[in-house]
Amino acid sequence: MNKEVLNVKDMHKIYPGGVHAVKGVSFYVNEGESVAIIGSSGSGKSTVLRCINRLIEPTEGIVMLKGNRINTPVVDINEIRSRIGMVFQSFELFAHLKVLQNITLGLIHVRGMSESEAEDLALSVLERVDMLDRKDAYPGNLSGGQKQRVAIARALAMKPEILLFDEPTSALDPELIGSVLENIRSLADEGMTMVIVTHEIGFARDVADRIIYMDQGIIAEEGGSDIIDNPQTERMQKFLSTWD
Amino acid sequence: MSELSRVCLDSKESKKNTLRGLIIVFSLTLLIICSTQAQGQSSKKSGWELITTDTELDILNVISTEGNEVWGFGESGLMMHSDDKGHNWNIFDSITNENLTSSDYLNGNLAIAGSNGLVMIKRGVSEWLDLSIPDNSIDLKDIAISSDDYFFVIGDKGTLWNYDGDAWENISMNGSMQYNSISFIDDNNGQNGIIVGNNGLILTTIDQGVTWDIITPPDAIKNSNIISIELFSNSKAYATTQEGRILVSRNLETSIGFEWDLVTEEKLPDNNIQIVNIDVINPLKIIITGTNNYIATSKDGGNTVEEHNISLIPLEMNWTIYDIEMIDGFCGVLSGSQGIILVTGINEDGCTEGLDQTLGFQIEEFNKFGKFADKYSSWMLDGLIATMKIVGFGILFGFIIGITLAMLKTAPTSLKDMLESHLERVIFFSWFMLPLSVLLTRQFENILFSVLVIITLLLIIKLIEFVNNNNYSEELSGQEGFFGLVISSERRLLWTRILGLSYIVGIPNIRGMEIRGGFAMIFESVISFKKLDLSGVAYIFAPIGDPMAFSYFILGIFITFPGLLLLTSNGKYSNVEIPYLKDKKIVIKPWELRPLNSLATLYTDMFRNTPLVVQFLFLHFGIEMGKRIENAADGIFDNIPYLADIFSDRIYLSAICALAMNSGAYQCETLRGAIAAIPSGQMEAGRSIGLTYLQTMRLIILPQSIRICIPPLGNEMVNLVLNSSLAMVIGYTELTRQGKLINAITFQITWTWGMVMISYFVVTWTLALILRRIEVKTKIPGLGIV
Ligand SMILES: Nc1ncnc2c1ncn2[C@@H]1O[C@H](COP(=O)(O)OP(=O)(O)O)[C@@H](O)[C@H]1O
Ligand SMILES: [Mg+2]
Repeated sequence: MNKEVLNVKDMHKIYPGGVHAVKGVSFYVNEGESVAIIGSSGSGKSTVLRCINRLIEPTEGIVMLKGNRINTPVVDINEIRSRIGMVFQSFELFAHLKVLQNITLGLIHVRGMSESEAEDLALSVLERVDMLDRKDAYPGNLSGGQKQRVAIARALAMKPEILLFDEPTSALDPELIGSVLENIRSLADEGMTMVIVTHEIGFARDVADRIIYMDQGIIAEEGGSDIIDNPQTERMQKFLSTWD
Repeated sequence: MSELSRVCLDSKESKKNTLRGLIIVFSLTLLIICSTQAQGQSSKKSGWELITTDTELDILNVISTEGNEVWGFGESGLMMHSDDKGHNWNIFDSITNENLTSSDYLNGNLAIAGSNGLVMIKRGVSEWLDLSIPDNSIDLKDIAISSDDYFFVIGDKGTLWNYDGDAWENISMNGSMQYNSISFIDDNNGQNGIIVGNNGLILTTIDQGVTWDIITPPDAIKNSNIISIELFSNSKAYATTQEGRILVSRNLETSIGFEWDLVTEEKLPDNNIQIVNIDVINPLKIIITGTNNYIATSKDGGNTVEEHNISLIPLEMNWTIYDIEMIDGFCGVLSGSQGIILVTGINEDGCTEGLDQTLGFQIEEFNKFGKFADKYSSWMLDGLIATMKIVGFGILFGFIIGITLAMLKTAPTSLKDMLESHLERVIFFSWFMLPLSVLLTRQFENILFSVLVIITLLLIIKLIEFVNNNNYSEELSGQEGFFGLVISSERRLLWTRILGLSYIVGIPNIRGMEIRGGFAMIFESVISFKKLDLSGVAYIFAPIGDPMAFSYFILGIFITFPGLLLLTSNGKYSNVEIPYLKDKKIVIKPWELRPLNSLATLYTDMFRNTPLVVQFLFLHFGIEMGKRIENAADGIFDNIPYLADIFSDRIYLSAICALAMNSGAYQCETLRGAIAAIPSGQMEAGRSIGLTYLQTMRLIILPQSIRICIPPLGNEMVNLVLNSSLAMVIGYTELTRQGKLINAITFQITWTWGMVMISYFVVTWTLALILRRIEVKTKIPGLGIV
């Protein structure tokens, strides 16, 4: 049977300023599944993702990773995070480290690998995202698409149980988007468990097993990739029409 | 693939090597600088002039009476007199054959004492009157006049006689005592007197010798022979031991003479020299003399003793300098073995030369700069090396302190986090580590030692944690806790409250293990403050009136506040809202208090809002930082001569501390700004791959922020070099002070200060160049505007 990797139950997030950004979101992700979250800007997508690996603390609700609750004070959050990969909209590569070191850093200091082990692994993931030739470059000298591919490689190298993407292509020039999406697509094909927040509706339809449409902090519609072509709710219809 | 990995290994290796190289070069330079002894040989000429006298007898003491008159007394009844400050002497025919060992003068009465009980007195212009003590088997060592017709003599085997105007009275106390010197105060009707002797003996009277109190000497000189004493005034008395350790007594809570501090703890490096005499010129300026032509002066009450190079004294052989008498601050007469007399001042106008700074040393004429520079560049070098020594360590420790403070200031850990996620840890530290460190410190009375023990313990704990973490199972255990200790969710609130209670009440007194709680601390310190009898506004100085009570007061508040907060917690850690208008309210967020941040802020505020000079003075003289470190490190580094040297120079230690602590406060702010300039996404990215907060700081945030703030940090370091000149206020002989000394000797103001300026410029400019180079070297490719 399908094993459940992530389960979010009735998550709420109220920011210190009083903004109620997420109002009771529940969903699950099974092993090998990719789930796309779409929705207009400000609908709370990033907030949901950040609450999952507790970069911000959800105000209420339960987040379960492989059946264990992870949003309680007593868990070792660092250990949890090392098992949840995250790719950011703005790449967030470590600017002072070369591409290769960006990837080995976590392997050495979190996974406790030796330097040579870590480098072997890093080189293999770099090969996977087709960035082997730039391994000695500094992030500042890479193009946006290349940066994002390195960021994906950095997350992949940790062998995460689930990978979260927060608008991975939104900061890229149109002609650079393709290669990054290509990388994500091949990850999906390989059976990586993923949650992808994206504005690339077409890509979501092609790649995602399930689609979640968020609006104003709640899940307004949810279903297979066919809901893109046949949105049931008015809100989603309206949202999709702005994208065509 | 393996080819590839070799390539990157190489590139990585080489980068590491440059870093390692830099560190090695830096530490080597530091080592070389600090271990270099400047080779400069000063070539001063003495200002003392040798006077020919027609005697070969030892002149045992000299004394000035009125005006320019000086008397000298010596072996075999030698008596001599000069009426021009010692330049020309007239030797009298002997009226006795005894050795005249000592003399004293008060209000026209000149008294001398000698061997076989001889005492003679001369009142005004009258002839010498024989007043020998009845027991002529006693060799008298010293005589002191307390008031006009009232005086005391001391001799062998603890003999003490008192003449009351009519007759002698033997008031000896204990035959096993060995007296060396006696001194009575010249005013106050001569009520106060002090006798010193062997094995740290000090006797004090406040009733003109009717009763004598035996005073406990400072521990270090219990077995030393105190050889000479001068009761200078109502408020200052100095004494010296044979090995040149100087003691001072002031009248603070007790009368003069009852409490003694050792100001010069070091013995003379040369065992062959024995001090014979101390002379006090003014409350801070003293001269000690001894065998082997030894003269040394101190201008700061004995804190620093400057030995005058014996080769400068125009004597060929090693004579003993028995006595020195300063007629005023600048003019002196010095007597020694084989009939030698030396005087300062060689022109007719008197003794204006040699001035205060150099006492008895001559000013040289320099008409060529080359000659001057040649002579004094070695002095400059000495000063420069001394400056670099404190600057080097100052920069190092300042940077460490700065980084630590910056990390503390940016630490997001709030009270809430600590209690929610790390309650077990907090309890462990509060109930185990804290009491342990207090008790250890009490037990060994040595902070350094207990710090070492605590660090070792922490390392062991870290090690165990590390081992535990490394064999974590693939299964998600989910619980972090501490050391396998986990307090379940239902019990957390209870334990939080118990912890709070424990802060307030502390550990009760069981077998002297008492550790006071917050309440007791505040209560007791308030009582102590009351005792100070301050009025109103004067309470702001309470910290100085009773520093102990004040620190307990602050500590008490720091402990009681979280204690109360924890005790009254309801487990929700919510904000407190106090409405004051219809729709306005004050929001207090006690749980968002960041303890680490508050501590660091307290520190930086303290150091950034007080002048550096005052910090120097306070740290060195006020709380005797250097002395404390020296005492704490006493004996620990005996086997490492280099460190032992450093840890035995208390002025040096204080100077480093003051510089580093001050600079640390400023560097902290610079670093904090740079940390704030790193996008928060970098922290998130680090955390999201599972690095801990500290790892992310160390591996990602700090390397980037330090690069950003190299220019402002460079400024701080240059400031530190410039500020190091203030170390002279505590008597550290660095460049500026050296300049002052050269100036005082040569009066070449322009040349001296010019040379000092150039020296500073060279140092700071080199530093700036190095920093610029580092900035270029560490620049991240593709980042920032060049
Ligand atoms: N740190 C924050 N503090 C306060 N409000 C925030 C913060 N981050 C996001 N918000 C608000 O929360 C809502 C959801 O934001 P977000 O999750 O970033 O939306 P999305 O990613 O879907 O564009 C927005 O209204 C936004 O203004
Ligand atoms: Mg977003």
